[in-house]
Amino acid sequence: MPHLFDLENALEHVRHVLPAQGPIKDFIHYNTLHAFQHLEFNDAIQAASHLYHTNTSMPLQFYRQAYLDGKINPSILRQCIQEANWSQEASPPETTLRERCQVQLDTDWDMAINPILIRLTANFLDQGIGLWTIPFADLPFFQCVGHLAKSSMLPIASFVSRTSSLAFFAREPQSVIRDLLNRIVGDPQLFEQYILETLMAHKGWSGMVNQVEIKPSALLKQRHIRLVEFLALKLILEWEFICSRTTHFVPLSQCPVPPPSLEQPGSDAVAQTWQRALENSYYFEVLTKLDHNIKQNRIASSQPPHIQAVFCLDDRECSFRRHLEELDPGIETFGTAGFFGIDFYFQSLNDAVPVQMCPLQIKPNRLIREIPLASHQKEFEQQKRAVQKKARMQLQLNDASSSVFLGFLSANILGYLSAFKLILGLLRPKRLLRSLLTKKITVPTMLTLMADRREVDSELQEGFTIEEMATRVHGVLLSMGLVHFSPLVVVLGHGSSSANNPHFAAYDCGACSGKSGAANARVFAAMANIPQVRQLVAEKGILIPESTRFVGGHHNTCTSEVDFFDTDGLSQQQASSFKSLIELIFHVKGKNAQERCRRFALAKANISPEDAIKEIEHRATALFEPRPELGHATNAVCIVGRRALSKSIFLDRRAFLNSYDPRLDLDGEILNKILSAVIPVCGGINLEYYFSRIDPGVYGSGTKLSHNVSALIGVFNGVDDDLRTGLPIQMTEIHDPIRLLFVVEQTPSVLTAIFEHNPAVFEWIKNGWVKLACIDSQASVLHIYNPKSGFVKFRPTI
Amino acid sequence: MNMIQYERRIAKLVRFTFVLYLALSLLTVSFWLIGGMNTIDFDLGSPFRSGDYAFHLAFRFDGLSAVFLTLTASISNIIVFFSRRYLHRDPSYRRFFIILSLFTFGMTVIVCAGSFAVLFLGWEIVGFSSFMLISYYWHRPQAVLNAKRAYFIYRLCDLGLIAAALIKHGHTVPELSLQNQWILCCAILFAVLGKSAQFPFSYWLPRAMEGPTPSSAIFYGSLSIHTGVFLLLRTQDIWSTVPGFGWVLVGVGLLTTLSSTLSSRVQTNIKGQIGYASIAQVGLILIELGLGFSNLALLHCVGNAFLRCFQLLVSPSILVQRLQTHHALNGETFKPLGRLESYLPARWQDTLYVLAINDWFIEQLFRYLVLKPSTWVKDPLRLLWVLGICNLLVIAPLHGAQVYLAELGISWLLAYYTLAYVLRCRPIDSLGSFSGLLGQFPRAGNLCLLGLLGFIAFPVTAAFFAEDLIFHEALGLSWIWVALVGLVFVLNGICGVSLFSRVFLGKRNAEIPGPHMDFSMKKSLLLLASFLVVGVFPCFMK
Repeated sequence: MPHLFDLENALEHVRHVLPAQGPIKDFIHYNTLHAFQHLEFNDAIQAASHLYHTNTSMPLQFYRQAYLDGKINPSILRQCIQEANWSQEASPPETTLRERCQVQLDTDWDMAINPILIRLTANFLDQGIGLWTIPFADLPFFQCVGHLAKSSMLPIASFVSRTSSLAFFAREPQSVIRDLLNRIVGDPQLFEQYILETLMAHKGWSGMVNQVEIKPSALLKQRHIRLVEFLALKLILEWEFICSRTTHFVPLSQCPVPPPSLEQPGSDAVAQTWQRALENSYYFEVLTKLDHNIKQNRIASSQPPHIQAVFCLDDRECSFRRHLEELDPGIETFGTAGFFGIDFYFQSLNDAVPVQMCPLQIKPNRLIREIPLASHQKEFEQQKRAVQKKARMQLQLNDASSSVFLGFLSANILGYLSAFKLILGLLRPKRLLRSLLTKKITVPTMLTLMADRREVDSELQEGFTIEEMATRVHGVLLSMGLVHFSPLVVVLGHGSSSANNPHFAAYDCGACSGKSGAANARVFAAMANIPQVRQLVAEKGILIPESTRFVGGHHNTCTSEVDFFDTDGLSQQQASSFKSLIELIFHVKGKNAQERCRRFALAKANISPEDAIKEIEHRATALFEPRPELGHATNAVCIVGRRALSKSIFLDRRAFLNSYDPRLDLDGEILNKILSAVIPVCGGINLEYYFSRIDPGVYGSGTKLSHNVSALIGVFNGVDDDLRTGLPIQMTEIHDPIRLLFVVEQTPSVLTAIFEHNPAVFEWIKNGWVKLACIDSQASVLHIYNPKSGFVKFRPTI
Repeated sequence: MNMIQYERRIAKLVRFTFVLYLALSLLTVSFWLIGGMNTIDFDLGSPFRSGDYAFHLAFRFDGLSAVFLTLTASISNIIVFFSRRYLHRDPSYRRFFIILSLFTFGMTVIVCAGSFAVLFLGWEIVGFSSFMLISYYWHRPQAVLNAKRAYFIYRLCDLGLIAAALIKHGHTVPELSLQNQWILCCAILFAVLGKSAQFPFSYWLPRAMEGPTPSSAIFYGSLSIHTGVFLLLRTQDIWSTVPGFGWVLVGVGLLTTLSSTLSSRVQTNIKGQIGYASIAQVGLILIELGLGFSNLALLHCVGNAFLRCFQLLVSPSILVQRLQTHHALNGETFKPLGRLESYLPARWQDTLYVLAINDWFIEQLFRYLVLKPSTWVKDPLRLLWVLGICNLLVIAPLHGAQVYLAELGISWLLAYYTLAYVLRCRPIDSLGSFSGLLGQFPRAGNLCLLGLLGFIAFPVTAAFFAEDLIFHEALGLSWIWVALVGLVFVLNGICGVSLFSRVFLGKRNAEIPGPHMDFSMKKSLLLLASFLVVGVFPCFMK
């Protein structure tokens, strides 16, 4: 029976397993193995390991060390050993189609083909590093390369014959692919397998091409590239290479299968048992503490707070909140996803184009711009001109240093200047950083919040209507359980500043698609302060007193600095609260820095708060510091419930804390919304750390120290290697790979009902990608969810 | 926190040595300045002597040395300061600083060398430390491949220096015939082409950016790439008297500048761009030298070294920087003035573009021309046998080669037996792919490396000092014999490094950092010291 080959379908399958990381400027955490999420967690790891050739767990010595460090509870280990399935055997890796070809050609052809393929692709996608844009860059990729090949008097690569390649370029990529697959592979049944292997040989670039095809707006400079064009070019290069090596090429389906390699993989049962023991030991410890807490009934509320502070649920805010509460018990803190329920595009004074400020899954259709106050328009224009002047000069200087005559001048003049800059950079990192980067425009601004100035801005509507604002504000307040208000409510978005760091976006707010959440906090506070909005919110059931004022702010998780927006016009009481808060934050900053320094091996053991602040500020500005902060490393648990549940527990910056009051949500409707957002976001972060940790070379991007920025869209090693996706070792090295444990304050019956209606979220739990426990605070019982047996009551003894 | 104390100890030691080095360098330079800025020559005698041949440990200190010593000392200190923290928690923290120290030592020897033989000593050390730093992340095949690529060119171009030493030995330039003068100059130029990545050997340098950023900055941005310029400045009194040679320099410089400038413009990765830009400037320096502006060349050289070092160190910032400029200028693109290529017809422009992204097809051209012995002999042990026999055949007939052969023999045996041991435990199919056995056999790997180093006459054994003698003796026989010895010399280097990398380095999918990934350096150093003693001893006996 003739097998009809469906190229689109095959490509669709391959797309699924390519890395989903887009341009690095918007680094977004996602589950590295998202393509396998329909499988049970351990099966998925095995399947992915076959496909990507990766580790399935940490090396055994890691677990032994963890045992010695007391991270693994001996009795839990014993229990895991008893429960382990020792019969499973790992199957030996099969030889791939491309290996057959390699045997036939007797050479490592990737080493010959990939460099030119990668150069062409990178030069095509380049966003502003190259000084000579590839000719025909406005055309689609395949045509661009085709035109270049045609126009050039020399072939595009040393092994390519000019005439035969031009014949390929004159055709449609799809037909070229079909034709070449026939010639190289032969059997249509193997085509999909071959396409997969071919694109996986440089999965970083294939994934990037795929992402750009799906979302062209992710690029600053528009380029038209499709995976099918990329594949066609690759196959042309492969075929030309084959032709240059041999005249008697046997299609792969007909050539003999070489014997599989002698290396037998060891069974992973041992490592898996250790891994389970490591996870269970941590879960047990946290759950025991929580169990103890609810049994003691510590959840009783204290006196009404005088300040309320809303944070992102981020694990890095965990200690900041704790210190704030400890230093002033009159402060109540809340946590929610850091975009504060406002989905919009934001364009600040310093942005040329609007950027999305909410999780990627949401497609916003509102735009808010930051505009200078009318009184400062002149100042703004002055600053803007200065900034543009500096930006132009930077480009000019960079161009000059790569040209002949100006290069001569710049080596002789700038060269000696940079000697001073180098020394400055070592001794006063902050000063150098300022000179490296363009100054930001800083004038008092306002937001284009209201929708009454309707103007159409490329399909986006500018501003929100009162109803839209009220819905969003009400939704967030209700979901956090923030229904009684103190005179001052501060809303803090977070971001992170670092120097010499291409992965900067990985340190920013995950809920704001890798941006700083400052704009969201500012917008939320501004919305909640509008009287008409409050009126509508009150109609929906939440009364915000007139004496309450929301203030938006920004917490820099790297330097621990906190700035506030729009603080004018506070009442006397609010002003005094605000002043005390600022003072308090100063102390919290020191304590928080001290706590963070415990994790920095280079910081002194008993560091004083002042030195700790110096240390973290140094980290944020020094060029030679690959760890400005440790990001989400060590994250392991996410608590969805009232803060009182966990207030007295030391969670060691390992917990995402999302506020939720089950008393306001009897039917679980709010919880459903929370879980739909929190499980993918936090689970994604956790799993990205998990996988980047167990295989830093393939799932992660290896060590940061040798990274080279390519085309402004990613990093790689050397000058023509594959793009590296995932997190660098410097972010994950102290992370213990533990799946995220969700502890939700709700009854099992409500949760079961939610999962019935929400299979997408349930998939994460059912397949074990995240773990789940729930607290019924009314009945003071804790249940853990087991995919096999459902909810089981937690016993604090083993 | 054992690791931290350990790192701290290394950092402290390294910092102490380098600051001391800087202080001593500055002290030397200031004494020289006060002392009237005369050229100081000193000869530590000749530890090795055979017939009319003598290996002089001669040093020279003059204005050129003063400038380069200050440059080396300051840039290496900057890099050490930078790397102390940058490399924190890197599993091979110690190895990095050992190689860096080795490199700085090599540079100092070059800068203060008073004879070709001593200069060659430093030259070799710099070359090998370069190989070690490019393959610093040795589990990545690409890195090892690029390291090999760089080392092959180094090795090939080392022949130039050997030939120069051979011709120059014991003569002053005017004594030589015009033909010999030209050969001498071309030999020097050949050595410069490889080390400074000049046309046609430019393509290896951008690809050498595989190590940690600071190592790329010191090697390929600032110091290593300018050693060629130093050599030209040092030998200026030799080549400047040869009429017409200046124009050869101008020609090479012009070709390099034009080709590398275009290559730099089409690079869309930041380190490659800076690398090519740096090469282009060195090309300009060559033109300046050819035209006789040696002071300008020196000034240019130092400026370029600092500029590229700085650019490479801040290269990860490019992303933030360009995003900011993009937003500030609202996506407006930069329109440069007066591009040379823009005056050409479109077809020529596109051809140039294709040439530039293919690095001018030079590497592929070399593939056809340069020998690839590892493709003839696929079995590692057989390759060693072939090499050993080649050496024996070529060198044994030479008078006074006993010491050299003895040293080579010891090294060969060490390499052979460690390799045989490793291969008995873990047989490998062929040398066609990387096996990465160093993780499994760190000790044997180090021993094998040591043996191979001795075998390729790296200055760990006295064989190095006898190398000159061998060439000298070969010259006594005939030019053909010199060519044969040269061929064997290059083969030894290329095969030795190739063998080591194929068997011990470059295993895919092994990026888990762990202590077992480190060359056990303390032991290697101990061994190296004992080897040196054993090796040098027979020399003094003679």
